Amino acid sequence: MPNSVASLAAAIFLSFAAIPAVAEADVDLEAGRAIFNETAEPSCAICHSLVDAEAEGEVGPNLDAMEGLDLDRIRAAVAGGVGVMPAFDEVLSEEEIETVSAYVAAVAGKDANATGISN
Amino acid sequence: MTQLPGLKRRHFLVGAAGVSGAAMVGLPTVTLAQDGTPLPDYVAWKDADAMIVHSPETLETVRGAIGTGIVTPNDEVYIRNNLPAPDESIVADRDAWEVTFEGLAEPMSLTVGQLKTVGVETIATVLQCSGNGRKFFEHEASGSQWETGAAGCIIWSGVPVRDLVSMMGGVTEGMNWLTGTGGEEIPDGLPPETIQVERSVPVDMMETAILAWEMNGEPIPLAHGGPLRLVIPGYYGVNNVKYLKRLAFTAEESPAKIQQTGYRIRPVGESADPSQPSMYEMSVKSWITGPLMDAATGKVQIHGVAMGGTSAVEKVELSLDGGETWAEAPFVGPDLGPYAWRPFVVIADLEAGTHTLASRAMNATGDVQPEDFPPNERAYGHNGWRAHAVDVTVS
Repeated sequence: MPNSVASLAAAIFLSFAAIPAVAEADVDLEAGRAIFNETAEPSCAICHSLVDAEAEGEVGPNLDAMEGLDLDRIRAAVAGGVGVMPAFDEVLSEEEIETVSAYVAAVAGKDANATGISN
Repeated sequence: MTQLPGLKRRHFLVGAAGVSGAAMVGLPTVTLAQDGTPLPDYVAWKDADAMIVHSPETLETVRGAIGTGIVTPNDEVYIRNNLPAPDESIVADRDAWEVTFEGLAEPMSLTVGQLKTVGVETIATVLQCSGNGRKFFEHEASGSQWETGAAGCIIWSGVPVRDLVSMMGGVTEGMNWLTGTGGEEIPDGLPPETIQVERSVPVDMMETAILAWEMNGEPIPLAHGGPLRLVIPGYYGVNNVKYLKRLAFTAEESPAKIQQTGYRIRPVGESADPSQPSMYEMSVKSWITGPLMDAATGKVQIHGVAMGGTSAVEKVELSLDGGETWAEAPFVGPDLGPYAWRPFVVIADLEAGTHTLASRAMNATGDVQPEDFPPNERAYGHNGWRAHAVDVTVS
C-alpha cells in the first residue's frame, strides 16, 4: 500500500476529528461508566482521563484527546492491551468489554480543552 | 527537502501563523509539530519540523527527515514512552542515580558515577519500536499508527554488562533471564506488575548489552531514558529499558504484564499468552526516505536506510517499477557495525509518470526482506517491502 496524497490528507483530517465515534443513544452509558470506573480491575480511571467518567488518570493517554478512537480499535485495546496497558480479556467478560468500549467510543472527545498534550 | 513534508509543511505554516499571532498579544508560545499538534513540554526541545505527535508519549520522526543520515540526531529521534517520563529532577545529578544488581555471586548497588569507572563501550544500534509500520496493516490494530518513523540509529556509550558480571563474580546458576526494571512511578492502587516496565531477555544477551549514559555524545535526555538505559543491540525498543533502576539475573521471566502478555506476536483476534513469541530480535528491513511523492524529470537522488536486525545488513536492492526488476543500491558512508543501519543512494533518471519505488534488504545470515508481512493482533514487526514502497510522480 504505497503512500498517496489521499491517505495523507485523510490522516491529517482524522487527527483533528475529535468527534464521538459511536452515537450515544445506542449505548448503555451508565453500564459503560460503571465498568470504566469500578468493574475493571485495575480501573480504567486510575490511568486514563475521561471527562464523562470524571476520570483524571495521567498514566495512559487522555481518552478525550486521542486520535483514531473508533470502536474496533478501542475494543482491541481493551481486550488485548497496548504497550504496558494489560489485556482486559483476562478480567472482563466479552459483554463487558463491548459495553465499556462502546461507552468510550460514544463519550470520548467531549473535553473541548483536550489537546492530547497533558504534560 | 522531499515533497511529502511539503504538504504537511503548508499545514504546519497555517498553525505557525496562528502561533505568531498569539505571541504578538502576549500569549505563551508553543512549538507545533508537523501535524499541527504542540510538542509536549518534556520534549519541547525536539525539532518540530521532524516530528509527528501521535500522543504525549508517542512522537514519530517524519519519514523524509532521515534522508541519508547514518546517525539520527537526538532532537529527531522518535519517542515511545510506555509510561510518562519521571520528573526532571532524576537527571539533576546523573552520577548519583543508583542501580541494584541481583542474581550474581556478589550482588550490589552502584551509582552511575561508579559504573563509569568499571568500563566503557560505544555501540551503534537501530532503536525501533515493535509497532513501527503498524499503519501498513489493514486490521485496525489499536496503538499509535506508526509508519516508518518509530526508528532511529543511535550511538550509545556505557558499561558492558559482561564487565559488571565479571566484577560481581559471575551469574548465579540457573538464572536464564536478564531482567531490567524501569524507574517510572506507579500510581497508588496499582500492583507494580500491572503496568511496570520490566522486561526479561535471554541471559546470553549480557554479552552484548550495555548500560548506557550517553546518546549520540550527550547525556541521555530524560525522554530517552536518562540517566541510565539498558541497551540490547538488535532487540526491539521495549527491551531497552529506560531509567534503569534494577538489573537482575532471574530464573524466570518478569511477572510484569508487559513481559507476560504485552509485546507478544499472535494471530489477529487471539488473546495474549506467555507462550507466544516475545518482541525480541528485529528483522531485516529497509525503506526509502526520499523522494516520497514528487520529483522533477531528469536525474533524481533516491535514498533510504537498510538494517539487518541482529546480523549486519549485507546488501540492499532498489526497484523503480514496483518490484518487477531489482538492482543493487550502494551504501554510502561508514559501516557502524552489525546493529546500525546503512544509508543507500542511487542516482536515477526517471521519465515523466508515476513510479513505484521499493527497496529490499538482505542480512549476513541470508534473511531477505519479504514482500509482505502477515497481519498479527498488535500489528508488530512489519518489514514487508511492498507496503513500504512509495509512488513518486515525476513531471
